[in-house]
Amino acid sequence: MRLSELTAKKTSNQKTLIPYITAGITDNWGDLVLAAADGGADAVEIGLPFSDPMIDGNIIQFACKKSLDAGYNTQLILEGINSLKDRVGIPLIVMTYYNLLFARGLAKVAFDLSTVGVVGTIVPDLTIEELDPWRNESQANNLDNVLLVAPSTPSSRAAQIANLSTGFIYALGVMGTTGIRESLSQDAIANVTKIKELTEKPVLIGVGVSTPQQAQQAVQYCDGVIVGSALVKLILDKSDEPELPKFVESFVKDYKTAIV
Amino acid sequence: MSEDLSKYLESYTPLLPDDKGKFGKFGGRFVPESLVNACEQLQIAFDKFWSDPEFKNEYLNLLHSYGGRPTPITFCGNLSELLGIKLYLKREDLTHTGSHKINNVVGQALLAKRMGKTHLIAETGAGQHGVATATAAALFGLKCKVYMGQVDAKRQELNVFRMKLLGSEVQEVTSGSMTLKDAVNEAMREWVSRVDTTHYCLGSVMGPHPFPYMVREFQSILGNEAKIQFKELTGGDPDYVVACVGGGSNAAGTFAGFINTDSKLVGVEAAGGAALSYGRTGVVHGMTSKLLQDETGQINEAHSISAGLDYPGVGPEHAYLQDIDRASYVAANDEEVLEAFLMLSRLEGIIPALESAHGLAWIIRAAKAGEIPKDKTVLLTLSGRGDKDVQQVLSILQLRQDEKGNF
Repeated sequence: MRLSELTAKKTSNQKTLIPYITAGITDNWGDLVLAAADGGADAVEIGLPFSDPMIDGNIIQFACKKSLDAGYNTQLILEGINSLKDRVGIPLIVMTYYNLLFARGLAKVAFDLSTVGVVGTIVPDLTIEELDPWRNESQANNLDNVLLVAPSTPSSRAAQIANLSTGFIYALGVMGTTGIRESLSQDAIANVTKIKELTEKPVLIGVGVSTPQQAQQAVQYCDGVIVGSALVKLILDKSDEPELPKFVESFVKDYKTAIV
Repeated sequence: MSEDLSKYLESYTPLLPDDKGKFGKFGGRFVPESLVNACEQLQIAFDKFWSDPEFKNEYLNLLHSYGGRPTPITFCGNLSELLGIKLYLKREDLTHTGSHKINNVVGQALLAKRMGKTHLIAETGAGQHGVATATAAALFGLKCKVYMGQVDAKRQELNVFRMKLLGSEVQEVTSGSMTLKDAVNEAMREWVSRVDTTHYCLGSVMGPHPFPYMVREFQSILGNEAKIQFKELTGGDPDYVVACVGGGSNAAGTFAGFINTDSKLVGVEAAGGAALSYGRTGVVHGMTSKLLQDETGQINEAHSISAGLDYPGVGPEHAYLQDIDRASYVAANDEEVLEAFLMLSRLEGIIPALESAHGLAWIIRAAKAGEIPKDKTVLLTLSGRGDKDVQQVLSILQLRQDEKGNF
């Protein structure tokens, strides 16, 4: 299944749910991805941890550090994803920072990602001005480039980004880092409203969607949500519990129910 | 008595980045989309004001009346005799707050004010840039918050207190390695969420465009003064121009004055933070540059005797100058830095910042090895004074003093 099928869903007015999980957050992180799929996720965003995650708040920073300290690296995580590819049944997207791609070599890592079944990437520190090298390698390997639009992005620039983004458009829900927020921000609504006027492509809100209620509210304005920190916090809090995959499944199910 | 500093910039021809903010393949703008607009606004404001004579005059007048510029060049007779070269120091240690950092913060604070910002945030390693930013914030009536890795805050307790005395908040950073690189991350994160009211007063020639270019321009007064002063003093240009490099702001400002001369430009890194000597090209903190990193792209921590040079990256312009062979970059280890620190103190009566002592350490080594030939003229930027470091040096020297208490 490819990200383009999200577009197909959009016509039938179904909403999309994409949970984010940091690879290596626990040794059974692969099971957590499968559990998210069982809970009704439409795709899963897998984070490749970076030492200097500029756009991430405390929770995901901690998850990245925990994973790196446990010895996870790009190669191990690719192998982990590879072991999921025949079982997961939904698209897997990789989110990481540009230096990890750059260090492995853009051509090599695009090929590797594609080989293990990844369908697209989100690289938050890669702006459209610097996108070409990665876009070329992505296209050569059938990987989508999901691009971000911020509340501060002017409409003219948002239109350019929307045009270049494939799969869907990632609308940042806050001016700030990833993290748990009390409520869905006005910025989030204004941002998706701005983007929807510019494109027919699906638009998902990520960053700042922290409860099923906020997700339900968000999808009144857009095509789906990405849920990161709230899920990562749950995983960190319950990482020692044998029932962790069940918790993840039920967490995802709650969001899915809320946005249907 | 007033002196017009603008004469020092009259014949300055800056090296300009391309339209993506790059020097060759280095630099650029690798930031989350939420910061792109802020970077663009800053670039527009900087371009506008830096070419505005009124802004430039106000900036230069402040550097004179408040910052203490121009700083002198001092000939080091005793060290010169010992080393068989002619050694000159550009005395940034004599500025207000005691380092070249004041040049940059006065410029950025003035710019922030013109942009209508009410808050400054800054990162700091050794604390010099934090103190300078706190100083400028006090002067301009801006609220200020300085991010400092917890490890650095412990090493530089007095600077933490200085910042607080100046009315700034100091936020200790406990993420990652709790040093300068993490303070940069945290300041960037804070900037994203407060971009409407807040200017990020970045302390070195690093980060996303326009910071590397802007900070170098604000530091270029250093090198341009030095070039003209040196010519007045000796009739020519120095054979060697030397400066220490962490992020590389004092070196960038120094080299700016000599980029179009025949002077050999030498940047001296800390051996434990030598991105140019040992690093590989990569992307962090909004820029492409040389970085200390592992083979998978995780950024390494830097380690040296001076917190101010503990940075795993370097400004992109330096990576470019190295790439085109216009400047060379070498590394000095902690032991020879300590020796240089002691020699300058004892032979010239100048206690240098440990950062600046790196430059001298290389000069001593190179002169002794004949790498710098006899009688050549060497200009070293003494980027800061060593007061902040004496406690740390004391604790190191106490470990090796003899029974009479001699070091």
